[in-house]
Amino acid sequence: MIKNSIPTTNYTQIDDDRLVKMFRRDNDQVAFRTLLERHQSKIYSYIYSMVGSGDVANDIFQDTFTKVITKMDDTYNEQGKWIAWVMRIAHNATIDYLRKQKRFVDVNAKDDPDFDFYERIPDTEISAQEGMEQGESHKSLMKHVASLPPEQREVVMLRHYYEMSFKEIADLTGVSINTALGRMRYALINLRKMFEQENANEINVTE
Amino acid sequence: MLPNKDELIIRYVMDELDPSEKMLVESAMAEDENILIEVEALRSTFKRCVENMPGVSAPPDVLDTVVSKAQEFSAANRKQAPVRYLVFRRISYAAAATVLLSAGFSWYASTGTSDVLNQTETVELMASPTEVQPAANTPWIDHQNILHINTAGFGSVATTPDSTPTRLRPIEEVTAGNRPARQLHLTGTQ
Repeated sequence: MIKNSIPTTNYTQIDDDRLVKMFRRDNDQVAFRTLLERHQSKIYSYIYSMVGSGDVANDIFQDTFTKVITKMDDTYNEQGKWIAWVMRIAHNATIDYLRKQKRFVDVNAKDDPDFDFYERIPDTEISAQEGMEQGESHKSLMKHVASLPPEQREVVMLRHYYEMSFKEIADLTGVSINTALGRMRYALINLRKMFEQENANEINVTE
Repeated sequence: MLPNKDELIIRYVMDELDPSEKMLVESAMAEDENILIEVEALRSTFKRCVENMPGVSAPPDVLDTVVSKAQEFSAANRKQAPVRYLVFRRISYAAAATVLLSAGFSWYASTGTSDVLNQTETVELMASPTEVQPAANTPWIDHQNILHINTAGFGSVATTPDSTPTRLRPIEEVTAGNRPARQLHLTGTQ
């Protein structure tokens, strides 16, 4: 039986585990919608930042949630975090796509005209002067992140959007913890260089 | 000198060190200016990333599609549920019947009778059952579910089976044919 009896406002206060149980056992659609709305931005941002194309990100996002819906009874055991399980599906789908496209190694966002992640940052963030500056910072950062080697970008995104520990990142990406830590370190070193270069360019333009 | 410097520094920046490791890094930062500079550079870059990393929402039509799929899946599940329930119920009934039959058969086989025993009645000594008696010293059951134990040439002792020793009674009328030295008299209920 599909239940929609509890007001939606109450669902936002329910934790993931209980919402998952409500959807699995009672087919509670509001519970599922609440989970989706709670996590969709992080999942979509991760996929989008990795594949660099809105259409592809849409497809992978839908595929991810199709698997989530149909496989939840078979493969999710409610022992671990639901979002970590979803994230693993999203990550695997993303990596599968990149491998199929043979872009995982070769991709370079600077040379990819389709890579428009930083153009998709919501305009609502650029409503005032402060917002405009923030929006520019977002776009600037995402340009730099997109320029990172995929394995470094992956670690930064997983750490940021999913707040994963390095053990979780290592497990998910199939590398050692030290390798994951090393990728993060190089990502930060590269990003710092990019920021410094950007600042130097701005100073030159001003002069 | 800080062992595993690179690893410890990035873990320090990510706040993934235990207190003792944290103290180790902090003392190294106090002693070595280069470590301090590296830590601060990584930390400020990470902070800039965390503060400026935007979130991009999935398009509304994509979200609607996902919600629709969830509804379709739930509806399909709902249709299958009665079938699954009926199958489960039938299997449950069959299993229960099997268990009951097995238990009944085992009980019947062990007791030799399905009648409910009345503990107040005693079994009368049967003089000569109508059924054909088997060979001597072989217990047998007649049409009234009475157990007979024959002894060669000395008639039979009949009783319903009951293993309770308290229901055994001594022979009160000793005759030539049922001397206690030659026959076993059992009492019980029927």
